[in-house]
Amino acid sequence: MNRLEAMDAIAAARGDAAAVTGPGANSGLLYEKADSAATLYNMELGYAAAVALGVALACPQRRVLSIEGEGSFFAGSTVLSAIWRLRPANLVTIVLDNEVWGTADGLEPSATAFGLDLARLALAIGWDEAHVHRPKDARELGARVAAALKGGGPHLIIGKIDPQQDRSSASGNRARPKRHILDCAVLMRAALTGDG
Amino acid sequence: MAGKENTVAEAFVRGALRGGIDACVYLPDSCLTPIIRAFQKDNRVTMIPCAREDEGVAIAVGLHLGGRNPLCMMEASGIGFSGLILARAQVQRTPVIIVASHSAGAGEPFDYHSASALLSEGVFSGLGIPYEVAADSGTLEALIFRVVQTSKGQRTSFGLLVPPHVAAGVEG
Repeated sequence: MNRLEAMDAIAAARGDAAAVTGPGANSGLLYEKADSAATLYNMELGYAAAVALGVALACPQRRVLSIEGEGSFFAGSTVLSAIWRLRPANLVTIVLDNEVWGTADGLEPSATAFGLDLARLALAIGWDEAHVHRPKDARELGARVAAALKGGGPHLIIGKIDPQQDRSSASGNRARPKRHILDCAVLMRAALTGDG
Repeated sequence: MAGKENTVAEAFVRGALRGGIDACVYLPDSCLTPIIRAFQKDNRVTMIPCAREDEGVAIAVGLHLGGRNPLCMMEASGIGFSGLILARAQVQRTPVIIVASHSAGAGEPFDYHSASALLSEGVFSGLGIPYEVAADSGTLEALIFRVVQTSKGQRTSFGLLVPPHVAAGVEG
C-alpha cells in the first residue's frame, strides 16, 4: 500500500479516538484527512507511542491512537515493554513502515530495510500474537484499526508502505499541520478533560 | 538509617499528595527508592514503571494531557536522556515534574555519579526549567508541595534534585 491509502484507511476508522502522531508525513496527512481537537501532531522522534500510552492510562474510557513511522517508533521502542506491562485496553499503536527515514531526500534506509522486524521485536518483548497485527493492504489496515479501536488492547499494528510509491518521504513534499504544537496541547487537554 | 529514610519518604509523599500528585512514573534509583516504595504503598497514586527516563517523561506528558497530575522519579542520569522530550513539554506548556537524585552540590561521594551530577542542573538551566536542590530533609514535604504548586500554577516543568544525604535523612 502507499501512505495515502494507509492514512485514508486510518482516517476513516479513527472516529473520536485521541491521537498522537510522530514527526513527518503522517502528521500532515492526519491533519488533512481526520483532524480533531484531541490530536497532538509531530511529537518528537521516539515519543509518540509513549505519550499516547500516558493519555490512554489517564483516559481509560477514551480510545487512543499513536501513528508514527518505523524510524521514530524504533527509536522509542522500549515503550513496547511498558505498554505490554500496563496493557491499556484502549490503546492502539500504529507504525507505518516504509523502510526509509522520512527526512531530507527520503532515500536513507532505516533499520527495517536491513531486517529489523518490529512485529517480532514486540513478540520478543512479550506481546502475544493476538495483539500484534500485520495488515497486508490498506483495506485490511482500516479493518484492523477499526476492530482494535473497539477495545481489547493494547494493539500494535504495523503496515508496510511501499517506498517506491511514497512521495511524502522527502521533507519538501509533505503536508503539514496548520496548528501550532502549543495550541494542539491546549486543545487536546481541553477536549480530554474540559480543562485547557 | 533505614528508619530515617522512611520518615523522609513518608513526608515527601504527604507533600506530593497535598499538592495533588496522583501518578508516579519511575525508574529505580538507590537514593529515591524509599520514596518510590512509599508511593507504591499509597493506593491513591498510579505507579507506572518504564524502561528509560525519557520514555517516562513522555508518558507523563500524556498523563497530564489526559488530566492526571504525575511526577517522574529518576536518577539524575535520566535527565540527560530526557532533554528533547522535556523541551517539547516546555514548548507546549505541558508541565512535567522531575524528582531526581544527585546534584552538582555537596554530598556526592561517588565518582560514578559525577556525570549525573554534572548534567542535571545544566539540562534544567539550558531549557529554562526552574529547579531546586533540596538542602534539608526536614523541609522536603513543604518543598515538594510548593514545587507541585508552582508547576501547576505557572504551567511549567520543574526539577527537584534530592542529594543522597537529604533522601537518607542525614543531618550535618
